[in-house]
Amino acid sequence: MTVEHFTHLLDAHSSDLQRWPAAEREAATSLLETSDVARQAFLDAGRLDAALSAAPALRQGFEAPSPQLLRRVAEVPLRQPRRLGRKVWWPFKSAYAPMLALAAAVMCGLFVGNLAFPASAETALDEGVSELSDDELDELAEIAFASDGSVGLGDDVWSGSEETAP
Amino acid sequence: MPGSEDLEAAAPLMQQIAEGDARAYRALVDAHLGAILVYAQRLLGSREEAEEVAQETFLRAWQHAESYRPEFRVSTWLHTIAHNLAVDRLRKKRPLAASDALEEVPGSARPPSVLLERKETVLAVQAALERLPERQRAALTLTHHQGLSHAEAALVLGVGVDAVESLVARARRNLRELLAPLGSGTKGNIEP
Repeated sequence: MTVEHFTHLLDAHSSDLQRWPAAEREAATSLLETSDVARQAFLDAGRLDAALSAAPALRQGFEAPSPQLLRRVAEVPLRQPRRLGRKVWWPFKSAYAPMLALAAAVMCGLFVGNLAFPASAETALDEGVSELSDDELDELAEIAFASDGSVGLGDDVWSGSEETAP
Repeated sequence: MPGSEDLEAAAPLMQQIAEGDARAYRALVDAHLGAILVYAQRLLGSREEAEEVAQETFLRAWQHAESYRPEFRVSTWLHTIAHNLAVDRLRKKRPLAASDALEEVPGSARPPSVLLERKETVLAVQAALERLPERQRAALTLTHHQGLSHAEAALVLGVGVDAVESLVARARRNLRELLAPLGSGTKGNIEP
């Protein structure tokens, strides 16, 4: 084990070798016996650990839970009884919220649909047709209704046969 | 101490709580409230807010006991709830960038090797700890003070074990940098 790897492990796992990966402990112990640099780093880490452990005890306000807090926390079951058998956690407080959400989604869909296909579009089409003259309407009917009664352009048109060519 | 928790005893206790057993819940509170309160206080730096987080943590534990998974320690599960609540508060209080900024640690003119044995230096260590970036402070606190393993801290923080090792290592290096100038009056560089 190199000193560099040793100090890396020291930073990651503290000076308590029991917290180190088991596979690294033996090599670390051997290095400590031979390297002054590793030993110094180990001592420094130990001081930092000692200071870290002591700090909260001296810091004002890190006392045990007060009796008032303990009572408030302990009384949670009295204030908020559990609903037994509940398996699925529902994020809403009651059923009206999702129902409102569904209704809002439907209304939103209707609104967007109305924007995309306004009712006036059909009227506009009708108006466009009514502006055609009688001759134009007849021509349109000929195109739409073939003489044999079939609807639309005949298959021959699409096949490009000579018989249907003008 | 979280490390002494018996996994085999935890599962039936949580099952009882899930069935609405208030006595089992009280046992949970007695065993873990102190540790959760201290952890929240270390993250938030405010006793009042820590008490609110601790109370909310146990309320959620009571309400969602059925979501506890017995392969984890109850302590890890409770720390996860408390951590998320505390971080939510921190992020509402101040932007993430600001929470990662480090403030100057109170200095002193005496050599660190002497000062480390003195109360004011221990307080300086605590002040330095409170000025670490949020995730580094959480990782160091969980592993050093709360007695969680790196794997358990990784669960609480929602990161991998390697990330926890990196956070702890950077936290310790930053603490050394913050405390080293105590004797010289200069300030070291801090890793984000």
